[in-house]
Amino acid sequence: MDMAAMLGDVIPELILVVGGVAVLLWALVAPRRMQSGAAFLALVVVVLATLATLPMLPALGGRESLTFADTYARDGVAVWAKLIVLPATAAVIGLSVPWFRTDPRHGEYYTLILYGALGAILLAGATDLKEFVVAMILSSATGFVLTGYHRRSSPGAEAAIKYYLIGAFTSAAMLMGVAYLFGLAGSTTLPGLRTGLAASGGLGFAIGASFVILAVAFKMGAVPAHAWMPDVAQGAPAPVAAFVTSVPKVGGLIFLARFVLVLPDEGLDWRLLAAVLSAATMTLGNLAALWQTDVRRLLGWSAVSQTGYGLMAIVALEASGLAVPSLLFFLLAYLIGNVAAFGVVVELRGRTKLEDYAGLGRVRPLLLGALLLAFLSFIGVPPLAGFVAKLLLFGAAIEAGYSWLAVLAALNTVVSIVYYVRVLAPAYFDTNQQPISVLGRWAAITTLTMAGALVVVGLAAEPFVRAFADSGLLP
Amino acid sequence: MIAVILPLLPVVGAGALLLLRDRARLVGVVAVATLLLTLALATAGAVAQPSFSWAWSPMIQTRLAVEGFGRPMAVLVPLIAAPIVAYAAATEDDGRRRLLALLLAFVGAMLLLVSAADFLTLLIGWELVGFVSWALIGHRWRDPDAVRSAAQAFVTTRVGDLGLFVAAGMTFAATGSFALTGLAEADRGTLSVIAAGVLLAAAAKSAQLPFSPWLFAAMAGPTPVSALLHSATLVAAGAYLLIRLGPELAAVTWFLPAVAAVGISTALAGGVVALVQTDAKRALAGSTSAQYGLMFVAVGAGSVAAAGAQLVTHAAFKSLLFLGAGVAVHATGSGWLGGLRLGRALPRVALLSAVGALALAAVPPLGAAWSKERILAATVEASPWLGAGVLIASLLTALYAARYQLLAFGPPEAGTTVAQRYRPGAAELASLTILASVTLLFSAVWLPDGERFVASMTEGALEAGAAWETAASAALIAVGFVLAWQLFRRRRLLTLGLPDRFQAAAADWLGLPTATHAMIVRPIEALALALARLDDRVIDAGVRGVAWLARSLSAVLSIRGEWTFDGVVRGLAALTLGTARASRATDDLGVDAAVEAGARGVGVAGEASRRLQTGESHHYFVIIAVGLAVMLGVLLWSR
Amino acid sequence: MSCYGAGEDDDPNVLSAAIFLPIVAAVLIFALGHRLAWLATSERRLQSLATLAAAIPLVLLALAWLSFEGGGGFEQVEALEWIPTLGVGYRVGIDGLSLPLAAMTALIFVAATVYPVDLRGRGPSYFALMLFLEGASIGLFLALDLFLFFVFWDVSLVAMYFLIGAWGHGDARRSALKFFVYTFAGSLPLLLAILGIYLATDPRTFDMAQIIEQQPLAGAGLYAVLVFIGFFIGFAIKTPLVPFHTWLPPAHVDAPGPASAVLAGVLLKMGTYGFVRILMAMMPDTFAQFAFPLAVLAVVAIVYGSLVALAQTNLKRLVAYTSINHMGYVILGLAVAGAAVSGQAEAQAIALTGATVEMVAHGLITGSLFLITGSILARGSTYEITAYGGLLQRAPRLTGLTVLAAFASLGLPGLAGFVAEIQVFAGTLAVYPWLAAIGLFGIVVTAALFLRMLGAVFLGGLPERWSEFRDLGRVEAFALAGLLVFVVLIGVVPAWLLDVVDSFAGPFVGR
Repeated sequence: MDMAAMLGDVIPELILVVGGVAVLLWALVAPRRMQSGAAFLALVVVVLATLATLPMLPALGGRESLTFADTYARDGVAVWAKLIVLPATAAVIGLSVPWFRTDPRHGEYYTLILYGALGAILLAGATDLKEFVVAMILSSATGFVLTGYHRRSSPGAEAAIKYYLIGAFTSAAMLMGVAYLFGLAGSTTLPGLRTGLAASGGLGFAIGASFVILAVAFKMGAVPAHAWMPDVAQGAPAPVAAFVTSVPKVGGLIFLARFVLVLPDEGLDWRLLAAVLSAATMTLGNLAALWQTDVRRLLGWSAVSQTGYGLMAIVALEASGLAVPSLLFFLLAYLIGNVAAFGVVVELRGRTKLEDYAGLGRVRPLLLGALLLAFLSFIGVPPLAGFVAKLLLFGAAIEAGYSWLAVLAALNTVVSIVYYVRVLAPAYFDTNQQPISVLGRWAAITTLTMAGALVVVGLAAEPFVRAFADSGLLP
Repeated sequence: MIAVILPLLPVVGAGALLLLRDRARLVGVVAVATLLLTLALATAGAVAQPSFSWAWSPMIQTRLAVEGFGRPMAVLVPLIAAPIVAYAAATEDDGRRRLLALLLAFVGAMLLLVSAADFLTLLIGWELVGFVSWALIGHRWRDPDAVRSAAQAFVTTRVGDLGLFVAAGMTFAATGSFALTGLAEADRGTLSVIAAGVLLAAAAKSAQLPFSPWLFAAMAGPTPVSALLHSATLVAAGAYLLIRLGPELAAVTWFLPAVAAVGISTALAGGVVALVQTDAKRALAGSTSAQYGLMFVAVGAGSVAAAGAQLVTHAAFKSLLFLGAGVAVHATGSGWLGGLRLGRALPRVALLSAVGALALAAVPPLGAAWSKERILAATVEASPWLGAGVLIASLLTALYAARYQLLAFGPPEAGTTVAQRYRPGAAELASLTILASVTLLFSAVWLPDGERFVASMTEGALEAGAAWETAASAALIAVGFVLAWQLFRRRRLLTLGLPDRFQAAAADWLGLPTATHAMIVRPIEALALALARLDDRVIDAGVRGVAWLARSLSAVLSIRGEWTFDGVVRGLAALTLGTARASRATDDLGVDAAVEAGARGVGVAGEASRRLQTGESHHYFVIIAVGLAVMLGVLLWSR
Repeated sequence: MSCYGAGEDDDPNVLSAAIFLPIVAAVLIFALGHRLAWLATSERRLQSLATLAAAIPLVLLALAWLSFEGGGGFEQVEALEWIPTLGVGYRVGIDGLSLPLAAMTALIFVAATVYPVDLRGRGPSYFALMLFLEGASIGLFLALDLFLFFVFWDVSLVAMYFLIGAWGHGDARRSALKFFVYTFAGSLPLLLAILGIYLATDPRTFDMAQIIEQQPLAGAGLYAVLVFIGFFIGFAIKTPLVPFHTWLPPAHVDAPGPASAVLAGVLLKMGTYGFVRILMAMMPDTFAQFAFPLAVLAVVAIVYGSLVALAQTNLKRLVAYTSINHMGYVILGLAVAGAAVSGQAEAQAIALTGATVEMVAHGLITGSLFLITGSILARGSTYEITAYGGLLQRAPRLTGLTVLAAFASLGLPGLAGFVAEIQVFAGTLAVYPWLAAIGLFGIVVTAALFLRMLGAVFLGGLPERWSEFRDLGRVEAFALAGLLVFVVLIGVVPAWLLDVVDSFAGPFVGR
């Protein structure tokens, strides 16, 4: 297999890499008033990458296979991961433009965003532990910097440090785990691991696996490495929060799916592990979010709980035909909803106190509408995208014989209503007429588009469900 | 078709009334005219025996038919109602239109009831009669007592209605239809349930024990209302039901004796009440219960014909008596029997009322006497004890009839001059006269063909009484009259010289109302209150409990979402290190490294967090380490 | 999305139009209500417009009624692919069960929309929510697809939450939240149960008709029981069945009159409708297993609801608890119809018919009663029964209509309630005689409590403070009359309704 052909498998990734560099150069050479040109450039890059991805769709004749000597997958799931991450990234860029307009030199910010997205995409496609490590680090490193991007903001810095510390700790675990598995299996590619590990179950092997899973848990913001999520959601620049709390999950969940599937079934109860992580994550996230008075922090915790729901798909892998569709649909719905929700925060100039949202409905009905849709989608109210996601997830869990997990998820959903409503109720019922200053057109348009997407994707779920159902998950 | 128009006609008339201007003569004439028309129609119907059936649904057929004992009833109701309505139009100024309209509706409902050929229609008429009576008794709605009494009357009779509900339901369950004729098919067990339901319903409507007191409450309505519902409508419905269904239900062994028992006890108790009551209308009410008791006895003795005759004759004289009492009350402004004796003040009313009193006392040759005699005959036939009871009852009847007449319309005290001079209007006298003449007219039953006529009308057999029975009852009546006269002369008639407390208790149904209130109404209300509290406090508490649990859990997990329970965390840390040392023994690089990393991490974090002035980061590490251990455990779970 | 916007197909999609035209109207009113001057300036104009929109489904469903054949099975079915991969379709249709309920819903919504209410300066949102809720409610009854059913089920909750919270009084937000969380907690077991039955189908489908045909859970043992429990919790909370009812009183008391009318008249029926359409139809064997306990529960609700109502001093709470009592009758009838007895098809059919009629009757009757309480609150600003008295003197119209509604509610013959209750009891006496006997007790208590209420509020002496009490306005009177006319029609000539219902009930119990 010649190099060119292989490069052909990663055109979108290449576009991102090159595009990132281009944006960086622009940021260096462009005068201050032209800095926001970088945003435009980044947007172009994302669009190009997206266009380059489309032909890889299985539906459009894309060939599903491993490439680069089994280290990277271009299967349906990976393709869809790109198609989920890239639009979300574009939306985040849309949110960032007005937010950073005042920042004199923010050109390189967009490079970081692009590479962050690239990290998630690589993670989603990685079928090799080394690849995995690279992707993780790329994604994390950009995440740390983005979180602390406002140098003068102490909460930002604090969040960045916490994020970094936990990241560092889990990365250590990751490296050990990877090394260990390599030692045991004599290969780092997932197919290699499967064959290599088929024979050896074993304690040490379990340790290696759990180290890797821990690292992924950090990436997804799952228990036990979830703690950075609320801090980042609160402290990071709002658009960054939207990005960091959601996009990496795509990579994390999908890699986890690939990884657990190569673990030998006998001896290692990874389903139970995923179920426990899922249960703990969703429950902890919801309960912690219950009495938040800071909307961003609330969103952070709800992001944790959402990861918990997502893990239900992992539990059901290969036990239910709904597992892969539910995984992808969940990611799709969640990213749209999350960007929409944070979009509202951005449009409100990062206003984050609960009381700041009182009476929003009177002054900014459309914004409240967006927030309402986002939250209802998180709750899983039909006919929004989030409902279809929950339906698929519950269905997958039940079919996989994990009904108790579905019931727990249902209970959690009930709890979650309370804190979402704690934001919505004053926003709709209160009628104070204080004008609320907003950021501007770009953020508004992006937010409303995302909110609208929740409805459209919910109503027109068929094409997605069908495509997701047809997507292969290698190896 | 007549079968449908018959009940509708009065209702239409009622509707028409509400559109008219409220002029006494105008509305009176229209109302009476409606009733006369109805009467004509009913007579025609009684001859033609029309029938009309229509389907509620594929499963439910209903049928209206003027047949059996329904024929005389259909005629009787408008016949009695017409004079009463005329009287009402003349005397009641307050809300006259509403009153007349309701009276007409009352007649309509009763006609529906008596022309019902299936339980469903019967139940409909039955409940509608009750509803209209509620509106009529509560006619003076500004008076809270009237409102309360109306409610009491409705609810009490509705308790009985349940019986009819059951009877109807069981009939359907047994036969797949509501038709009255279907009873024959019902098996014995079902039939006895139906019988029980019918008896309950009839007893409640006809103010038999233990339901009798509601009849006193019904006095809150205007006089014409009492006159109508005591004679031809509401109260009559119960007896009518038994007369109509008695023969079918006789198959149930206990049914007839039970009916007789209820009847005789009410006849005696009611007699006592009527005898000691000091209020004119209440005394009459007591006698109503007693008289209906006798009809029950007749049915129980297996002679529906006698009961039917009694029902018809009673309707005439009882309405007459009530209207008379109404005039008396009008004249004096009070119904206290101690203060009437209007013999001179209202000579003609007194005379007319006397006719009613004699009929009540069953003095031959009045029709009432005939029916009484037949009842006696039937009961003696059935059981001597029952016969004895009836004899005592008829003695009581004679006593209280005489007492009422003497106290209400007897000669005034010697020396008292007639103070007020109340002139009853023409309409009042006319209606009284009509009812009196109807009462007299019923004497025709003594004529040779009377026997057969009654038998054909009630579709029941009659046996003539033995001579000694006639003589005995005649003698008892005479005794009663003499006794009453003596007491009257000695001025002991009002209280019969009884001690006040006993007299008062006896007059109020021997304290039955108080008892029922204490034993049924109060407990139910108490239960309701208790349940309401339970509902607010306990049942909802479960829900609130769950909410509280979630809230406190979240509080434990996060105060402002942060991990601040150092104690817990340090505990966890110790645990990790402990497990770490343990697992080191299993010379295992991974765990070892992990723990070292964990320990190092904790240290680093401590540094970092101190620098950051936030005390949490090291907690994160401990949690992660513990989580890692747990993950490992879970992974290895199945081994 | 050809399934949205009903007009797109050539053939007249009457049912879809009845569902979506109000929703479209809602969106328009919400979007334009504040912008168009001639709407924003006059709330009356806005209300009339909304009422017109609300009346559209009534007309359309009347048309559907006229062309209804009643051959058993679903008629006028409209089906479109929606998510074929999951076996989800947009399927609507009518039968003898759903048609009366949908029509009743439309009628109640017209009355509720036209009924005067304090709009608090946000008329457009109010009417938008009302119309949206109307579309959703009608949709729920017409849906022939579990997915679609659940969609309408949940959105109706959301709309009602905002109606109570924004236009309610007293502790409205708390009550609204309690309503939302509690009923949503009921909807999730429902969702799980739907998934449970869906996963058992082969081929996988949410199509009600197919599921009823497949009977996927026949003999599924424990699995079926679990699914049953899921459905049961969902429907029992919505109905509500004692002891799942405690969300109801606060929600009613604090909700605005029209919203209460809709809540009691329409939303409660969703629960009972689910019992029939889903539990009884899709898993009859399992239902039969639980028929008796269910009947017991129903009798408890009947007696308990009436007794607790008897003790209420708050007018609206009183009516709310009578709702619980009446829902008891419905469930009793359903339990009887679903019981596993032989040779009682006649009685079971009559019980099912009775239960269905009770749904309609209760909707109309209690709907009017709640509208009435709304009017009373608007005039007297309290629900305390003891605060009133003698209102007949000032408000004969109000009194007359209330008396009518009250007696209808206590089951007076000639009115709708009786037609329902006699059939329920007739059927029950055949199957569970003793339960019926106990249940009858409720009839007396309801009579007592309504007469007491009427006496205390409308009769007796008129307190000084009400000497200026206004009688019903023309609009209010017409709205109430519009509902009560049908109460009388059903009571006097029930055939037109019973025939339709029986076309469903008869075949259902295999008569």
